[in-house]
Amino acid sequence: MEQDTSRKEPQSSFRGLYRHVKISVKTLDKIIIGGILAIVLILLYGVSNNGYTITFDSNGGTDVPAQELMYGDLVVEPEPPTREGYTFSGWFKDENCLYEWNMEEYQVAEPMTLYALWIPETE
Amino acid sequence: MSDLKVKKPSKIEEMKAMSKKDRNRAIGDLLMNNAMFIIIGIAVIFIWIQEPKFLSMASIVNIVNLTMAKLPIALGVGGCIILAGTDISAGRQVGLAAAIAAGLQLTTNKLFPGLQVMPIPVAIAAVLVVGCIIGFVNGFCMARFKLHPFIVTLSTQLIVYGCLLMFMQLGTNSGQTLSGMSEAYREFVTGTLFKVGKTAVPNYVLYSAIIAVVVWTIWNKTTFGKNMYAVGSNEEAANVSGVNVEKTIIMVFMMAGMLYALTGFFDAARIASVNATTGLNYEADAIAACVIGGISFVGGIGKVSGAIIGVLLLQVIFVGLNFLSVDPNLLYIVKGLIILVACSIDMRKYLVRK
Amino acid sequence: MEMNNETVLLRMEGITKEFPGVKALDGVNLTVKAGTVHALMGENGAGKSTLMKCLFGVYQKNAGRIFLEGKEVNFKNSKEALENGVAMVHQELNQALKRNVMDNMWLGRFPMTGPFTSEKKMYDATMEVFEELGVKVNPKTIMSTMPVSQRQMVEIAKAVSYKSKVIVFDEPTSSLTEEEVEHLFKIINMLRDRGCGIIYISHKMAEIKRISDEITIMRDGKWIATEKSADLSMNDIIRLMVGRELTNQFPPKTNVPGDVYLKVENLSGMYNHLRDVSFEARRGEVLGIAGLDSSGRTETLESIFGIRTRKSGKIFLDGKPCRNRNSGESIKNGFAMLTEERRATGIFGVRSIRDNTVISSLHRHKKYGPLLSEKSQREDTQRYIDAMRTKTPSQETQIRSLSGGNQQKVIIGRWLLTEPEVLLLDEPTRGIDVGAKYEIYQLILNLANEGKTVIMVSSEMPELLGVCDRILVMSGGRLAGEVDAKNTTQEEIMTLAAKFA
Repeated sequence: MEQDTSRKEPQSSFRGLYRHVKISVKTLDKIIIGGILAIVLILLYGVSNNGYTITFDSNGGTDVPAQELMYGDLVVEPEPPTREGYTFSGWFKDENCLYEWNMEEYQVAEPMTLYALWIPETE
Repeated sequence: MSDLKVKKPSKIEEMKAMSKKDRNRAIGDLLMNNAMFIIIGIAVIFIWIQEPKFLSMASIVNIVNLTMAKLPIALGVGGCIILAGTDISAGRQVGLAAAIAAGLQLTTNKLFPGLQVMPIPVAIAAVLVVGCIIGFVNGFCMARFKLHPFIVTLSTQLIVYGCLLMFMQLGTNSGQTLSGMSEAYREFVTGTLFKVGKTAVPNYVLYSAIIAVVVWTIWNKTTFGKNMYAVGSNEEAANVSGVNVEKTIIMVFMMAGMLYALTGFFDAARIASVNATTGLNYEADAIAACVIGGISFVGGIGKVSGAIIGVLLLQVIFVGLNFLSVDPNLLYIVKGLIILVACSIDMRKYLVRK
Repeated sequence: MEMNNETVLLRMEGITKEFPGVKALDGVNLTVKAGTVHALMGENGAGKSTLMKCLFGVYQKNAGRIFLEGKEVNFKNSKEALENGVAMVHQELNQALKRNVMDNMWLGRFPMTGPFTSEKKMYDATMEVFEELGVKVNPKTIMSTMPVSQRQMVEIAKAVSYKSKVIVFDEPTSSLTEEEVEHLFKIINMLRDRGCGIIYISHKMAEIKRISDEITIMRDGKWIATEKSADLSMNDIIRLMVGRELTNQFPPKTNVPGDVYLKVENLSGMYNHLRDVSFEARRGEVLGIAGLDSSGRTETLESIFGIRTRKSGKIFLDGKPCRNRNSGESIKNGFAMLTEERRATGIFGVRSIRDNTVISSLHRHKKYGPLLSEKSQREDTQRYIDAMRTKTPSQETQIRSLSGGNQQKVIIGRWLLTEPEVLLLDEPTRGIDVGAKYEIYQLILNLANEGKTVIMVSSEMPELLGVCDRILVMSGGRLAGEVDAKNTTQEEIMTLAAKFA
């Protein structure tokens, strides 16, 4: 039998993206159960190793050690860094130093880096 | 002619009538087909026990807000999945739209030095036009050249990303994060709609709800919507039945493009800063949400309510894991696995038993 | 080499295969002796292909046993069959077209030198087989650059290289020229003389008479007869194949054909073999189109409806030309088309009965601007569920859960809702049980009574004779003749159908 290729559409039945899939329900069940087990294990690992790392970028000043905190904790005010010729002016959420991080009020919700703002000393 | 109607027995009656072996299989099917919901339910209870604040009013409102922020992109991707396709350029399109919206709303504009803050309707129109164009390109390549959706949207994803990077280099900005949007814009999107207890519900929740209603109407009450489902479930039959298949595919992707654009427009104001990674991997969340919500890769199956449920469940899980301070890097792995499992379950539902 | 003509090579006994709701094979027997060509004949759907698929393990048979040289076998797939000496030369050749000839011949069992495949050994072995068969092909030619006839030769050579004892030829001459057919027959005769058993499946009566030693005839999934080829005349074969007698399984005909309504002139297909088809159809007439598979019946309807590209041809409705460039335009012009493959091109499986019913007439439900009225959709659907007596739990039921007959009724309802004047029905009763068939015949005649033009393609001869007024017979993409349904016989139609085949 000759195949007519004049149809514009490719052959498709109602199985969409799965139309070439040949797999038994049993195999699928194994995949599903395996996948769920993997998710559960990874989550358990994540929950047992939880905690967010807060790092401090002192922007050229002295190093400030990172902190391990939980969701909802307050950042512990670190010893202020120092830098020759500048005055330290607080920790900021963004590199451009537009949004200041309020240590008394803001709670930690994700791992993040805080940036130091320096103001040049004027004689 | 009521005598012709076959009465459909209820699920429980059906179960009772079965033999033991069949009943076990039916219960097995029920468990497997709803495995994702079951596992999410268990996770929610587990997180709640660990951290009771998780289900406090403030937290729930927060989850709803996040859900509404991600809903438009999920509806866009949902339309593509109903066509038995997919769209992996969605996230980058959101990023580009966010950058454009921000670029037109900066108070001190480094992208277009000297440009005044544009009126909000201009910004909306601009992102919608861009979304439309990208959607048209996506749909046109698929409809006319019969390219696989994965290939087409993979290409547009790269192209859009390139455009986004170029856009960020405009003027004197040289790729820096865009922040400092006009107050009017931020107020328009994130201003307080009303308050539940102490937690504010922002305006975009309302906009997103309106979008959901509009999309529901288009999917269910218009010729275009009916044609979309028809093309998704059987392209050849649609072609025989007088449906303009090419036009339908192109329109679905244009509509998706516009929905991504709106997501981007909200996100720029919501997050208050836009850079090249804005929108990264959003499509993964959207696809996962759609598949969990029963929008099937089989094509032609899916509801707006499904997309909403899917997005909501994903947000519940991820907000919950956030409460437990789980490393966000790990969540990518979890998301990937969720998509795999959700697709396997979806496939299982529509497999024909031999 | 075995030359004894009475050695039984392959014996299939009581093969039964059931699909949900259909008994495709019912206790079929087939015995192939060494050194003979055994023709397997039957109408479309008689079960020839199903029988072969059971032999090669594509389908699992429900009952029956298969013996190869006296030993019971049960192949799991065609590879296992091939390794045991049972080969098939397919209707549609499935070869790796981008690879060369010898790669295709030795795929999966490349000759080795140590751990590496040996090009040289492969080349020599290929040449050896080719010389034996008198095939003049360079083993390094890329498959896609060769004509179909040569690709077929490679397939045969592959079967020979496996030392196959039983070779099945499925419609081998359908795309060959006369010369190529001669060469093929020469090779088949050679294989027979070497003691192979050949199973030859074809529709072409003349070929069968020429090449075969024995003929097995099947009908409706049942074994009908096995005879020496010399003992059967062409008419005997046709009679055995058609078999059924006309009973009153058809409603009485009361329609009166009126004026000419549809006129088709010089219709030719762009990408198929449809050539110069011209005919007229009247109002209130049921016009049948008969012919073998791939005789161009389906192509004719689909070209008129605009879902296949036309190379030339004009369509006139009531004397006025109409273009029918796509299905949407054809529907506007008053055409409706029921396709042959219901599952592939008819139903939207996962969608509801209602969506399946209203899809082609959505413009009628526009109420508030672009918005569609749910109520009028529901009413239209219910009207056709009632009128067609479709058995369904509700309008929301997925159509794929209905039986074939009920699915067909939903699709016919879809087309009636477009208020068509010309109905193109391609195998309207395929895969439908007898009761539902009668209802569909009744419906066709009612439509004709209302003055509609119905054009109906069918492989079932009695159906055409029972329902149609005139029957066009197609053969090899051309119109072979026209007969009056009242004064013709199945034999006459079969003879016409073989005219250009």
